[in-house]
Amino acid sequence: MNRKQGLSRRKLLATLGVGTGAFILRDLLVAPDAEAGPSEIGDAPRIIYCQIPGAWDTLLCLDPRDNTQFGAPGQKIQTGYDLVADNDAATAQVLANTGGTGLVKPNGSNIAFGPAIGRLANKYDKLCVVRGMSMGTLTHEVGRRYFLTGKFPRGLAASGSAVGTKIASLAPDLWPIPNLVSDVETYNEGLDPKASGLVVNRYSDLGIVLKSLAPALELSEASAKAVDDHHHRTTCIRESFAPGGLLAAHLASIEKARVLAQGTLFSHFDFIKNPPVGSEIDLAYKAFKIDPANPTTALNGAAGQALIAAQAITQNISQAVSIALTGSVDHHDDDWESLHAPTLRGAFDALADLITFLENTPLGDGSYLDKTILVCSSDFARTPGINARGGRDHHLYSSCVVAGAGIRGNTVIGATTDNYEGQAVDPDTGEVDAGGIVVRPPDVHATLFKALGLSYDHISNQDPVLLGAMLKS
Amino acid sequence: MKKLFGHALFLGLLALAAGCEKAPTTSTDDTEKVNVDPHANIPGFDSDADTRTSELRRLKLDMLQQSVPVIAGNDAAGNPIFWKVKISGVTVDGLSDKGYGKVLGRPDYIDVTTEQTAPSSLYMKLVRDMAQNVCDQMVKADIARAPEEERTLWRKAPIDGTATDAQVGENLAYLYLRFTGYRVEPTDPAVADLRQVYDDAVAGYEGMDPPAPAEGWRAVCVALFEDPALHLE
Repeated sequence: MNRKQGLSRRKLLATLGVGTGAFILRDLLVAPDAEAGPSEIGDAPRIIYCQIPGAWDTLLCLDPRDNTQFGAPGQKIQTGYDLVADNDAATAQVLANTGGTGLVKPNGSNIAFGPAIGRLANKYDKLCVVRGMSMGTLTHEVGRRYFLTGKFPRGLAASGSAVGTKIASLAPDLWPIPNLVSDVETYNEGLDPKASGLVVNRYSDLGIVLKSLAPALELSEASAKAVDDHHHRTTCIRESFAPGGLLAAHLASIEKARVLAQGTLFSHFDFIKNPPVGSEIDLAYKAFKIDPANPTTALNGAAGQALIAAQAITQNISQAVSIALTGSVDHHDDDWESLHAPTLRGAFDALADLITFLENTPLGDGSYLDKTILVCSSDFARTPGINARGGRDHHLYSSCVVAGAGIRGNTVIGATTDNYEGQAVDPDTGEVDAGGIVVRPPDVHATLFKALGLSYDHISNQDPVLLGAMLKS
Repeated sequence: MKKLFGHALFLGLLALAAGCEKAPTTSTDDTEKVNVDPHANIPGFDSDADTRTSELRRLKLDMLQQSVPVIAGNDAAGNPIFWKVKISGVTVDGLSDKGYGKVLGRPDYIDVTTEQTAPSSLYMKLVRDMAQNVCDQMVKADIARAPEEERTLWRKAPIDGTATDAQVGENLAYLYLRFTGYRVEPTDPAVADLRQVYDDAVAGYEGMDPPAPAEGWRAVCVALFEDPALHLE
């Protein structure tokens, strides 16, 4: 038989066909913007995203005003601290301690906080506060999703992936639950399905998620293996689900679900009454000031959410954790006077305890705080004036607070005007500069990724500007 | 990541090699006793409106909840089988809002207005819990039925050790249709795949109680409850 050696026309065309097919399918076969992830957990950057849904009153916390100058009704900015103090003893105490200004500024702090800041003020040396950030919307879902993904939503629909998902996509195989999400929305647009958020609503859900619900009904070892082997085989029917990565996502979900069902992770979230003295849970309760004899109320609030994040990060269970530190704080009516400040204070106290916990938990030569960024935001802010119903409405210019890995503490970026509108700032100094930029969520996002040593190409279409003043030199 | 996409590439090439030229179709044979359309029997469900949106990736919880009794049939007393869980001492459907429906993200149209239907580890973890519960009930129901009654899980193959290869294959094809809506022949690779599940489970269960064939059908049942053909659109 005379067989031609070398490259035949048929072989050439076949090779070209395969090559063209591979080129067309490249985005399905490899992650489109895969970034080299860490090879070991210890080196990995981590993130805790804290949300305060419903739009927070920044006058009470991150962008306050002197109550002696802005306290009177009818002004463009009305602090309302006296109204709040009538309903909230802690605010009244702050006013008494600060000569009526309501401005909390610990010795050495460059940051003045409002009267609802709670214990977080004591962490000023770790904090970077961004003020006058334009949220571009007064619609809750849009503002929330804008900050969550760093991309302005398409209508109401989120654009891009949640910040936690993006970071968890670096090396999802390293972590039992790469992206833990508690009571916060999460999105995965085109990233590794294993990085998708595992969503729970509250601490008690973890008992449902992290152990078998009925161990007595578990399949025998041989049967369980037979079922798992079944998922690794293919058929034509299965392949019909492959386009778009749907089958891969399904199989990845099964793989991760097996890890959850093993039950070994649950011991870190087994928040029982009166845990043994000195146990992991007992120490965690102490760190978050949770009464071990009656933990339920605290666990269902900000402390419980922060505790979930603390355990997931310091037990190396998750690379990204998203938590909601409060329920909705959308106080348009006179519930603002009575509820807003105590709710925010509870959230900031929990955030302060979380920072302390990370700071006190060693990792390599440093602590978990050195490898973890914490960022806290809300949908947008509330109006500087008080409305006729005794509450505050939606306001465009908001704030956020950031701490941890690569972030310069004791820093304020930007400011608001006497109309409480965002001012342009020099991104390298953080000072007001008419020739600078008004900060937006993509700018903060890009800077967070830079601080963690990561690329921020995924939001390049938002034209982000690095806020150099936020970064440790 | 590389491993995952490596799997996908391997599976894709294998499927091409196996000659997947035409996607199988769901059953349209209205003489079939089993109602295999997971969209059927759902009051007020408009199959043309809701399931054809581009966002639908897997079954919505309502669809899954309504499908389970259709797939699982009745217990020996004639009551529909569903995922039974005890919450505060009361037995409820695990897929209902009194069970784990809210954990799984069913919208309440107050705080949650849309159901995220991308496959997730939480969804599949609870599907496994559900499958083990429901399949156990199905096994117990079939064992408890009188000899002349029709079984749900091993309708076409007895579990007394007399089942032939042909009967086992026929039963697997029947179960595939019952769970996924895809009509396949006993010679189809999908049946061969399930046959492997059955054989491996039986081989690992010899001499135990219930009889090994029943454990084999239980394993097949769990595998089918997790199968992409049941969940994915």
